[in-house]
Amino acid sequence: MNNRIKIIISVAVFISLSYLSLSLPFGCDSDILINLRIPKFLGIFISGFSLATAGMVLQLVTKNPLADPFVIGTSAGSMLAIILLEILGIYSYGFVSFFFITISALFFTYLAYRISRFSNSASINMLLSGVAVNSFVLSIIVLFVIFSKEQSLYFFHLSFGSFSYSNYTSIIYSFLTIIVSSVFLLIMMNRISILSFDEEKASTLGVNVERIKFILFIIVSLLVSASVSLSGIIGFIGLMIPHITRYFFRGMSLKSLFLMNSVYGASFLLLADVISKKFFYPLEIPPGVISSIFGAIFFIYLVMGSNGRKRTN
Amino acid sequence: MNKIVEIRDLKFSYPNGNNVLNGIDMNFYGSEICGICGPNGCGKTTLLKIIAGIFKKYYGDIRINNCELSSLGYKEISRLVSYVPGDINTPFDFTVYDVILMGRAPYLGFMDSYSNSDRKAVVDVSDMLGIGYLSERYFSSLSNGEKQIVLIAQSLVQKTPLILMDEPTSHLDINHRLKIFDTLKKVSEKEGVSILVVIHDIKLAADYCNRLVFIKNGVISLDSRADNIINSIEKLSDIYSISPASVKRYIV
Repeated sequence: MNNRIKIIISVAVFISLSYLSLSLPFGCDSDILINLRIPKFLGIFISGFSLATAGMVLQLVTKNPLADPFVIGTSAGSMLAIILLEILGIYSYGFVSFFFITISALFFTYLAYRISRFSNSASINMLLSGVAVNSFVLSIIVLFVIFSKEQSLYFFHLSFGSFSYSNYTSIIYSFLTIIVSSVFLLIMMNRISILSFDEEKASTLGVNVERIKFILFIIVSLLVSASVSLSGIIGFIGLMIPHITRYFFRGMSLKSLFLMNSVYGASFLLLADVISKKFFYPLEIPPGVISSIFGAIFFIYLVMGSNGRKRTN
Repeated sequence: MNKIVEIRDLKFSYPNGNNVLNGIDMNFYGSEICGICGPNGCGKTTLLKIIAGIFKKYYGDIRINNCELSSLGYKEISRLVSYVPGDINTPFDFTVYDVILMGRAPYLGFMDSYSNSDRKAVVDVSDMLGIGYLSERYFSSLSNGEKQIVLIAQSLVQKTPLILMDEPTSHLDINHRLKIFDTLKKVSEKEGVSILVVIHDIKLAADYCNRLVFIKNGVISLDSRADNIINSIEKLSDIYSISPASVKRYIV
């Protein structure tokens, strides 16, 4: 199928999912729409967009198709900052909070990267050290959740991802963040492409590898913070969506790939939201849970399918 | 002959304390193919990566076109030197065309994208090397020989006076070995670039290179014209720690 047709279908699916997510259940009432559904819709859109993009960037930087902000500890880093700020009672949806969340995400991401650099620089190591950093941070989060009795339920919800806490202030910050990050990514697209081809080769093609990587880690932290401050930790999107887009749009330019990747990320979370509203109403099932269940099955199907084709070739 | 690279008293050790290079002195000149040989682990690849600007923490002086290497930024080095690695494995799908186009990156400004003349350079070089038919294929799907030629094409569109190659033929059969070296010879004669190639196959090197440099224990132990190598059999047997008879059998 032609790439253009695929893009048109994908965008059409995205628009219809947006409509369903806004209108389910029982139609559009302007009051509900403005106060509940639009913030939730924007939250889902921003989360899907930013997590998918962050996953794509991490996979390209580490040259490892398993990299994901959830696996490497970026999401947990943001989450830890939110919980600390909440416990200290100074969490606002303002700039300062957002800054701290991003710094915390960046700190743990970069920590994972530095640890991996102590051994031989095989890219798999960033994933291994990331897993270690991630479980360390997650354990601390669990400790905080247990000891903070009043807020336990809220923290619990956040660590599985929930859009019930989105509000317009945090949405504005997150929205600005994804715009700024996308602009920077667009500017650096050629360099990212070369970096993901080969690191040593990149440095002989005029790319300052360490600097670019650090900038990309900042962008990933910004994107992940945008998502986590809206919805808490949602796993799997950043791992799965880039695979799906690379599979559907094989050989397309990296710029278009990033664009479709973010559309797919948003569509996927929206689909999860629609499913949750359609089949589980009035229960509130976190979209992250639904997307992981259905996504994992689809993903396994995709992986098995692509292996089968390779063998017959 | 114009001097392209001048190396004075180059020393390098890895972070784990392993001294690889212990004082290399040599010059490379324009439009020559120079083979760098020596036993495994003698520092051939390290030397290449230092000149390519990948390893920065060396001692000594390296001047490329009369510019001190350590004073140059990544962009400036990439306009003087291009580097062809032995093999590249990337998990992502790059078309051959896109891979060759990356060779133009050193000439891009901060916010530029590739121009039409960049794209034309890619087409020209692909035609010259006869790999135009590969341009829509994915790089990861190519054979080792095809990958190597694509990487050579990438370094040719980089239009640098010096090309460094790390064992370009080690995974290849005789047919592809000859094809690659024919290509190198053509390029060096046509474009006037000098090529530094790390190579294990002394016989092949003697056939195609103008000059052979042998490194052992981090210093240059033999620097000879390629057609004269037959007179250095004693020296070679010392470098590789094998009997002169074996050397003779291998290179003659």
